Amino acid sequence: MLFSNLEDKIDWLEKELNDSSDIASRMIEKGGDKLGLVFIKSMIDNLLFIEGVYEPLLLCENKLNVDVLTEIIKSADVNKISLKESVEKILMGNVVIIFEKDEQCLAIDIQKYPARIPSEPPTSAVLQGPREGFTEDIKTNITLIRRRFYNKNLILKDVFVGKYSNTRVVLAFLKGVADKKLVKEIESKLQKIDIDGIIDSHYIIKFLEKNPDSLFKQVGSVEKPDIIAAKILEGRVAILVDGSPIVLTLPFLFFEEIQASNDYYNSHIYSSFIRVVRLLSILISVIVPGAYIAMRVFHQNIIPIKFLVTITNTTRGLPFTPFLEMLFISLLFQILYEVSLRLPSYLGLATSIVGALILGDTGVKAGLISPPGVIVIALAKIALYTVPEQAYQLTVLQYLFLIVGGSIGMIGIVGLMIYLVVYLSSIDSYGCPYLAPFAPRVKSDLKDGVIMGTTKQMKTRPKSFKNHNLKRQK
Amino acid sequence: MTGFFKLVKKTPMILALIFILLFFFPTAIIAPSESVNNSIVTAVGIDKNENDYEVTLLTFVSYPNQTYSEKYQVLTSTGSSLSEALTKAGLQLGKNISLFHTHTAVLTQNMLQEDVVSSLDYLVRVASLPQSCILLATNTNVKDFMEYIKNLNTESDINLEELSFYNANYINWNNTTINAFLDGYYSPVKCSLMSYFPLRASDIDGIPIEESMEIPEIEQTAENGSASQSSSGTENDQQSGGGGSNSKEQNKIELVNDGNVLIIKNGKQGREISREVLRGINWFNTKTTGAVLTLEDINDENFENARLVYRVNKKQIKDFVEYENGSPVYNMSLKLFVTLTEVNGDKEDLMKKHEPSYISDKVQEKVEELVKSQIRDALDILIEQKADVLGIYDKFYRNRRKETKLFLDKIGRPEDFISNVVFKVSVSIFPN
Amino acid sequence: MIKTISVRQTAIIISILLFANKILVLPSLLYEVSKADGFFIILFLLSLEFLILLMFLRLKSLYPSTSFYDILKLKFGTFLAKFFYILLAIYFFYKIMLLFNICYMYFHVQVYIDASYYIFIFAFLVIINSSVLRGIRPIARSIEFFYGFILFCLIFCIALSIANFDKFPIFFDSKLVNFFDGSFRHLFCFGDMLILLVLIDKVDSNNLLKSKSILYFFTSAVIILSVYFMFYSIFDYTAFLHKNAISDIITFSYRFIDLGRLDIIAVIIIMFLAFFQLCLYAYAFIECFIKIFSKLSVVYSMVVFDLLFIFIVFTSLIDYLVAIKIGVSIIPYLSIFLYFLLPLFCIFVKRGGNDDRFF
Repeated sequence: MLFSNLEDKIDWLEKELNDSSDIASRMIEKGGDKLGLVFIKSMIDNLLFIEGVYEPLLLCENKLNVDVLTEIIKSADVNKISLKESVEKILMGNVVIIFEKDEQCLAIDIQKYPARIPSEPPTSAVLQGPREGFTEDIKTNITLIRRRFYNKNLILKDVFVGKYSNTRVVLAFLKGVADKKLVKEIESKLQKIDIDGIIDSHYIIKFLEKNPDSLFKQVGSVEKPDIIAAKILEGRVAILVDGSPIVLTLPFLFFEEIQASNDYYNSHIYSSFIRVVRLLSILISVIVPGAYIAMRVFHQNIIPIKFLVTITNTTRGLPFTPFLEMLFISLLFQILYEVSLRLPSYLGLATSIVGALILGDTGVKAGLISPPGVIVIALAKIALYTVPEQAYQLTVLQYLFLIVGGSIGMIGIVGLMIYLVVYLSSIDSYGCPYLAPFAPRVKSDLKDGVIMGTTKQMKTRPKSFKNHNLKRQK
Repeated sequence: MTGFFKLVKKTPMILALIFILLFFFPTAIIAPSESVNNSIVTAVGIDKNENDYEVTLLTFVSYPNQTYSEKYQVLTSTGSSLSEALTKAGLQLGKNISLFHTHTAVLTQNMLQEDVVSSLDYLVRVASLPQSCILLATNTNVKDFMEYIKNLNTESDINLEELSFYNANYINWNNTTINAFLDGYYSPVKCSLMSYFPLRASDIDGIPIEESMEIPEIEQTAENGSASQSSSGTENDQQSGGGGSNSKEQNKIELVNDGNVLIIKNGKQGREISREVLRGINWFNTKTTGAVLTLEDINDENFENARLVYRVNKKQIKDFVEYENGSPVYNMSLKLFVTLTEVNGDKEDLMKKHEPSYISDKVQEKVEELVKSQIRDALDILIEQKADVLGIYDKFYRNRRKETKLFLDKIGRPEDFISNVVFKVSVSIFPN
Repeated sequence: MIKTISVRQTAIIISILLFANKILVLPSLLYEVSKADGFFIILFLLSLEFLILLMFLRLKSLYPSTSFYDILKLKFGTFLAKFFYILLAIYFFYKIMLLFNICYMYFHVQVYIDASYYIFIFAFLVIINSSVLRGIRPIARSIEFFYGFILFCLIFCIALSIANFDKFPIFFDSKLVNFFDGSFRHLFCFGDMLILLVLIDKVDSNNLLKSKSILYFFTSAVIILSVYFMFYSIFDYTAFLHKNAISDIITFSYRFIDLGRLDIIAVIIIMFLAFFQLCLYAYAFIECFIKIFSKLSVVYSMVVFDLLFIFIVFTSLIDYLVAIKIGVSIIPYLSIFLYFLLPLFCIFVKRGGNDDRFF
């Protein structure tokens, strides 16, 4: 591209940027040298602009060329770029200095925009342990990870995804630990994404999954840097997306959801117990409503007489059939849950009163629903949130088991369980069996399975997926 | 449509889900709870009048309540067969008769006059009566018994099932379930014991519900094959004090749990064994506890004409079988660990030597005599009835099979075996 | 590349296959023939089953990555190989019908009083189809996944039954002829290890295969023998009346009467076992079918299986009684040929210049 003067260059840039109203430009002429500064007003640190860029330019007594400016500008990130590249840089919050006589430009990264301070994510609270959480700013997130690896082998690779958003996506992994093929495969998948924009990391999940239509997660999502660091150490690849506090990890195993960061900051005996409780909670939340319906509709003879007497007495005269009753109560809970997510906090108390007293208590007294039904659904819904990351999937499964249990009884429930496990056994996450280390059994990984060993016992990296340098400690 | 086929090809399980939604799901939406169509029967009684079977069921009646109270009704029906009687009961109730939750089966002495196994077999195989159900006998008709049970369960803390269980484990040495009964029936000796709970007049010790509790009179049915139902709830039976509101004079009867049992031979009732005789039988079993030994006229260095009462805390039984000169000999060595609980003699005696561990030679002698006499009395009855409820034949067969088979060739039937056994018992007591 | 199942998965399949209907109606059937000596019949038949396992292990060591069909082709030629595979297919189909009918009777009596036949047909067919179409690897993995739970529940059932244990069974009370007669007539309940022959090329070759297979086999054998022992101890003279052994040994404990019927544990375990065994038999049947009709794909073979299954079940061509009748009359002869003669011939006889794996 050839331009006769600086104004033409600036005009061209502004046209490239579609004359957007937040684009600003300044021109400085000194000692026969002309240069222009183009930037987006709302994306730069004004103070740093004045003190680090503008003032040094004004006070400079030398010739204003690329090399001199590179030295005098007070910024950590100063890069020489071409005029064509300057469009992208301006959009990223850089100040671009264009020279009249020089084809090269300078891009100065003095980005500043509103961003959250790292705080504890609500779904990963710990009693003891780090409380930092990722934010929407990728730079902060990278910093949080870097702080845990003072090692040159932590590699960060950039990929830009999204035709309009041009979102920065960073792959983080340990060289010599993560599998190279895995990294290449993820990188190529990201590069192949042809989409208009990436708003959140969940947008790219479906592009990374091998079975995108599956109900089950195949890509891990984490909100805390300590967990990411642990996963990177195991040989996984972390994927950071600008604008999203959720960092993705690959490969992903089903049983990762049973593990929580809390487990590693407590006694391993207590952690093992809690993992068993989590597993039982998943089973309870998914199976109990369906099993209850199956017992009432098909298998009354199994119910112990004392339970049967209570259930029969309390369900006598209800207008709904058992299945409809359970569906009704379940939907009530679901509606309450959705409302509680979106309602302002000052209306929260009212919702609790409406939900608990009016719908629950009054519904029972009015003879619309039965106390055992309320207890079963309440228990199931509460148990869902022991593993909040899987809550949505478990909710769908809950309804499936409810339908199957009500339609064909216990054999349907057992059959559906087997079907699910067969299905999960048939999918893999980048060459790693989804149900590892339980199916297939990987003995060495069982130390961090449901029953947890001590940190001392975890001498090797997980063998459930491919990684290098298996030895972690002597 | 093409999109749908592509989806099915990709995820064939969608077909299964559609199939469930089309064929099974509508049924699920409208299917009522099983308790709407199936009754909950907690006790069943069978009686026989001439050629007709009379089946009485104690069924649970559900009614909406928040106080966890239970209400039962008694339903009686007759028929020329059990199947017919149960069908009629179902018609009367408007539900299928389901015996899955039945925990008690009651037979009358009428029923026990003939082989009752075929009736029980029907109930177990077809009507799904669990074999772990308790089986007992009564003297009165089953309807009265069921009425009594109904009131007992709802008005008191006592539960017939628990009573029977207690008897079976601690008093009778009798596993009184249907399976135990069938086990005895199909065994070579073809006998077993059955718990016996008679209803008797109120002047005899029994289990009252309320002082003024009245049992309704037996309803006379106008013709054969009809069913009757009494669904008196608890509120109807509430009496405010002495005397019922019923103007008819009715005898007050109460359940008597004196620990008596019936010998059942070949599925039919044999002799009733009193608790006194049961004591002798219980010496053969380590599980029954709490036996009491009352020794009269103890005269030794510490007591004069004293009456000492010992409680047996633990029993150790060592037995072995052998053949002496071709005759079976059962040797039992009984060690009793006792505690002296009462001394009813002179006041001076009471003050002097009342030690729980007191055992003298005289006491030892008296105990041995007492225990042996109890065993003798029990064995006399069992031998007379040819009822080997102690499992003597079984012991000989297990330990001395060859000789037992030879001996059996001589005597003919295993039922006669016990009559030919020589019992040698030695008793020794030790302080607990 | 043929996908393999690991050594542990193979061993677990061996363990699961042993259960089948052996802990349901068989104890009662054996008691009718030879009273408590049914325990020795089962011991004897388990030993025969063990021999089949040893033959499989030997064949595997001789032909590490050859399918059984190819071995048969090598020894007998294509025509006879297809014929033997037809026999195997018939045998596996019979086993499916037998197991389905026994399980249907069991579930119908225990938990599904009023339910219709269609529920079972639908439930079993859907799971069998979805599992077989995914291949042996997911089936093996899911069996591995549930194995701990199944084993724990079985041991728990036996532990519960100990509460009812009173005295030992009376052994050696029947004649020797009853023993052999019973063993021969009840061969149809065995021969589950034949599935391994069909899976031989899919099993991972490993030094640990022999030791693990034998260990898991013995674990299951011990559990089965314990069930029989407890069954004959608890029921003694009434054993012939109890057609659902594993459920009945726990139902009896009236100490637990407040908790209700604990046999729900047994029912659930039998459901799991039924599903897995039917999937394995169906997989073996499909494998045989594909070898016989080499132009048919797995999907079409599955369709043929489904249609055959539905037809036979709806017309009651092979119901519970017919299945037992066939099992007692025809199957023993077929069993002897398939269990022993065929594998032994494959191991000991060398045929042709290509067969360089000679024992």
